[in-house]
Amino acid sequence: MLILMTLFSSCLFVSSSNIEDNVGNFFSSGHTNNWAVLVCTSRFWFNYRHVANTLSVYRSVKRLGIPDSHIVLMLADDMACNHRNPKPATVFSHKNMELNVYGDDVEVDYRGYEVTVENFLRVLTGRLPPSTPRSKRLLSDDRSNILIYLTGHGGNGFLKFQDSEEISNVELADAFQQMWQKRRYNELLFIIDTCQGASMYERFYSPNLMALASSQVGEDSLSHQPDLAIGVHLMDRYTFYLLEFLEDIHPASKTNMNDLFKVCPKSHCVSTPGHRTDLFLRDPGSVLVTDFFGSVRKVEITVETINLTSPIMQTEEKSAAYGDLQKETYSFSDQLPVSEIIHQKPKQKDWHPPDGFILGLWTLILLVFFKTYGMKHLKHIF
Amino acid sequence: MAGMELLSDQGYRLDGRKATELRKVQARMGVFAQADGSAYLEQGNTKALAVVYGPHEMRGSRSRALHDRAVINCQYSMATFSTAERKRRPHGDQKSTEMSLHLKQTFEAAVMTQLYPRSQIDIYVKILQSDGGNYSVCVNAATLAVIDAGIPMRDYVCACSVGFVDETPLADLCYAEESGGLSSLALALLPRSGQIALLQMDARLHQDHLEALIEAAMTACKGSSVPRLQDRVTADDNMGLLSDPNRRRALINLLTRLNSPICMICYMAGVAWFMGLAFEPFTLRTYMSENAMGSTMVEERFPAGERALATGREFAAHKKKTGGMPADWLVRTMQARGLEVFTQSFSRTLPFPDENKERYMVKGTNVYGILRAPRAPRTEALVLSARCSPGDDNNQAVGLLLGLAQYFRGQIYLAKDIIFLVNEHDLIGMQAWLEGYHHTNTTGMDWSPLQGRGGSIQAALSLELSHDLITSLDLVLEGLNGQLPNLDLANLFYAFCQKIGVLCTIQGKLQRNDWDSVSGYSHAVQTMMLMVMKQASGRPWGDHGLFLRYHIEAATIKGINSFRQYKTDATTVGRLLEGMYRKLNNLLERLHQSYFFYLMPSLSHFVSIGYYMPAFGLLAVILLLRALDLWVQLVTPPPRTEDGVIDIEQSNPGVLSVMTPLVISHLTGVALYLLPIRFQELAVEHFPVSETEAVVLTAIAVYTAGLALPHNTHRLLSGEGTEQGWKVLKLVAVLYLAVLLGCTALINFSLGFILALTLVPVAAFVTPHVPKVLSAFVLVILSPACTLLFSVFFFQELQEIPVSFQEGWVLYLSVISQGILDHCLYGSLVYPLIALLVYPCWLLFWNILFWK
Repeated sequence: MLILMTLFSSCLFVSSSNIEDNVGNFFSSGHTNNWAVLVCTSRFWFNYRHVANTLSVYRSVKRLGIPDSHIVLMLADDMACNHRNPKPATVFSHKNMELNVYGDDVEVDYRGYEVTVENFLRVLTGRLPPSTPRSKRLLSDDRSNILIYLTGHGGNGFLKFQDSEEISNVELADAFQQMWQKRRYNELLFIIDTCQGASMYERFYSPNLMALASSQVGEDSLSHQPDLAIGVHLMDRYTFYLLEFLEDIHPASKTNMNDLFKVCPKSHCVSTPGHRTDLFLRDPGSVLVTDFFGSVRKVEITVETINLTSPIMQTEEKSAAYGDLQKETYSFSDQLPVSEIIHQKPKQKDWHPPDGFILGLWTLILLVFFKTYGMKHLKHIF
Repeated sequence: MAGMELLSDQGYRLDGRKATELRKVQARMGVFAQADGSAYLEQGNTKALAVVYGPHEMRGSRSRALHDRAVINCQYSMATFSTAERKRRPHGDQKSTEMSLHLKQTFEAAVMTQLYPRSQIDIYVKILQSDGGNYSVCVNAATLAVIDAGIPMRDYVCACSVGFVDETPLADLCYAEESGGLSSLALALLPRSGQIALLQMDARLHQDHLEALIEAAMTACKGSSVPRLQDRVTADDNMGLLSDPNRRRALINLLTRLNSPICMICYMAGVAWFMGLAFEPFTLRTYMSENAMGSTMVEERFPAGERALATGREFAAHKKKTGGMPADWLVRTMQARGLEVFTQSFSRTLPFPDENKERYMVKGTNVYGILRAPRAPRTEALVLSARCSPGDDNNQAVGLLLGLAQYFRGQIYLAKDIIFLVNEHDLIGMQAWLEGYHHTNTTGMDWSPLQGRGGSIQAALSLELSHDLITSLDLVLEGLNGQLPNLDLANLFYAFCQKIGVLCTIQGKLQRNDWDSVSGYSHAVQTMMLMVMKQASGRPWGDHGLFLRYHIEAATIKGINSFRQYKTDATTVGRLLEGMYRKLNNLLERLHQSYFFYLMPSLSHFVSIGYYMPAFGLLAVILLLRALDLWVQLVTPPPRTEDGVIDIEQSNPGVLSVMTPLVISHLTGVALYLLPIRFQELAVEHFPVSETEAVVLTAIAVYTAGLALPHNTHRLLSGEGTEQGWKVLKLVAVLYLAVLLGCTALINFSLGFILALTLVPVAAFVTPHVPKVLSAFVLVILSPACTLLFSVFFFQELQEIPVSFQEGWVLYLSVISQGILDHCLYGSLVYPLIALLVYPCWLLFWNILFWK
């Protein structure tokens, strides 16, 4: 328990139950540190937008307080210094050079050909060679909230890495399960902006996962912000609106996950963004966006000292606030009906007339045929 | 068993066999991949599976190894379901041990064990279904497996069981007979030497009968012997529809009987298919395949059209002053625009004067400037070229090229070098420059080496612009030998024309939206036919045509000014080029995503190779059908055989009678290829003609002389041709034509298709028995030279510039001279193809007509 608590009661005459509530709110999230893994998997100039996507998320999490030491940024190509970039040393997210997400203090941890499926999975699971520097590691623990953001070209059930390999949704789900078993996260928010993005999270089965995707299976995620001067699309639609949404968040804002789910409705996105919360134990409405996007230490200033050393109060508070933590002490299989999750019902197929109907139709056609031509003509036909 | 009669009075056994008849045998070898050898054998209802491992090192106790030969280890087992009663059969019961031992003894006698000392060969046999004769089936199956494993044996082993009833030996006993209480005997035989590998008998038998019984067994063994089995194995493996002799015969009968109608239908279907290609619903819309070029999303800001035109006028003035390429001025101007400028001088003497362009001894200079990519390594380049031609031609193009050079100089997004090239003497200069750039010299031309190079060229555009204002831009794709650039280049051009709003044409034809009307369809047909004719000619139709040889995607953009109201100024054309170059600049690899083989009925639609090849295929099938027909006629002997001597003579036409026409036709072809240029001086001396006329007329003379030569010399050499002889010759000629046309169509579909259209009917109908005069006339009409003549008229008709016969004839002569020149100058292959291969092939058919 690394939280440094300085709690003072704001009023002399506050009833004890009120204080309890306040303290309960204070401990609502069970995490003590925040991490982010931001990955752009595609290279080449015409994939400018994927780099811009990743950098815009990077910008937001950094602005909300996650330090570079807690961000693993993987960029498969260097757009800012591409020969074809008419505005060198910039990566814009908005048309007409409104917002440069490249900034002047981007720390890229994995770049170019280092962005591979293997490296990505090794970062997640922590199975890195001992020589790997700290900046390239995800040093999270069971009190960490992790944001994982992926963007690139994908299909149903896979995401391409650099035109040469791909990660499948099963691999990804297994990696998360391994992270859970190794106690590498407390809660995990997964966001992916790619075509058929929802297919990437449908195989997840580890607890405390929340996932968002830019499009459903069978849908393409589309690009946005065509810029004639730069000559490419600057952003993808989903991340563009995500960025717009995040720009309005400040460290103290009370925006919760339900607001995040509403980002980029179909009218803006053209594709249908999806989200999955069945693995997540808390109510998304009570989860702040800054729980994942920021590194927020809660400080409230009061005048009076509140005595928290009383054992009764502490246990009560703990049981109220860390409900999900206690569950964590159970074995993994008890927590969640994993088998049910794995054997989820496949998506309903499109409706088509029942076979009997088609059979009947054919029979009818044949009947009409024989009725018109009569049985005696059959020998002429055959 | 009392009621059962093992041998009926009529001499039939229980299952209807005669006494000495064997059961039906079926076998397959190599049934398992893991084992060294394996076989499956059915003998009636007895089925056995044999597997051989080895020879390998001793497994288990090494002490059992023999120092001078291999140990054979046999294991016999029966499947639980092999008999009527389901029964678990543990290993090592007495019966199977005994059987294993028998097998072992048999194969020790047959396998050349001394070749593998200290090693072991495992033979495992399993009975899957037991219906008598287990031992013999096991031996036969194991033999096949040993053969499959490639283990040397003294001889095949074959085994058979024989029973004795009513003084008659019964071969190959089934279960009912075996259990019927007769005395039986099993025998394993090495059939070639007649040695007995094993003989086993468990019942009583009178000594007198033993001899007869063994004799019967040996006969039966030879009947089921392995060579026969092996025949069956191979027959089983190859069994298919066509190898079924009856069906095959029926199919061939059908094809020969209906040959002519099928050929007619194929021909019409081929032509109909081809005509259908221009019908819009059958074509595909063009689309950009290359990811890196993606959309047309760039900003075109080229502002300096007017200045470019002014530069063009300045260029014209200097051109007039120097009376040719104003190299110095160009060098200065390009240098002023910040390019690295180099010049290349070249000279070339044509084999004979080119009367169209009035040149013979050509000397010229190419000027080119390289705009280096500001931030990128110099590994890739793009080319923009404009030719410097005499008169008022193409000045605006040079002006625009210089204007674009100045504009691109100020842009920092270039990732490839751009080479701005002004070439003199159009294709000859281009040839010199390309050869200099790539360090090749294919045509023996003199040129000074290039002083500066960019990276490898990814794409090139040639600009032809002779007016300040233009109505439309025409895209020219056809290059040397009918090569086309990647379709993405055409898509790029079309996309930008759409975006900027410039009228664009292909073959000078605008596209129409009314594909469902007759005129709309005929418009599309016209456009496509023009492309086919141009492609078939094999000559480069713009300066870009030579780039394609170096695997550089290139096209010519030609400005056209007609009397329409719609006008485009130079700034717009400049913006179009800017957009295209900026997209080409984004390329990461050479253009390769889209099609290389296509036809375009309009700029927005294309027909890919998969759609147009069937049209040719339908024509080519006719040749194969005729060949099949002839083959069948040659193979089946004629029904009337009174005189054996004649028959033999007819069925063996001498090699001479086929080789003579072949050789003579090809010699005529070689003459047609070589003589016109060699003998031009001789001809000029003796006849009042110019060199060019001399070449063309010599070619026509050789061509015509060829008509008289082959069959006369052939008669002289090998006398009167036989019936069989012309059939063989025609078979050879038809197959030759099929291969020739097939190869041509793969490289240059249009040429292949046009040749097929005329030569296939010739090949189909020619025999010595058709009316001579009429057929000769048809044959001449369909000969390659006449095809060319018709093509010239047809091409003019398509371009809507119809010509009179006189003009057409002059045009025809100039086309021939151009064809020969294209071959000598740029290495176009159409002339040698026609002279060396197609014409001799046609002569063969001519020869067949005059066989008798």
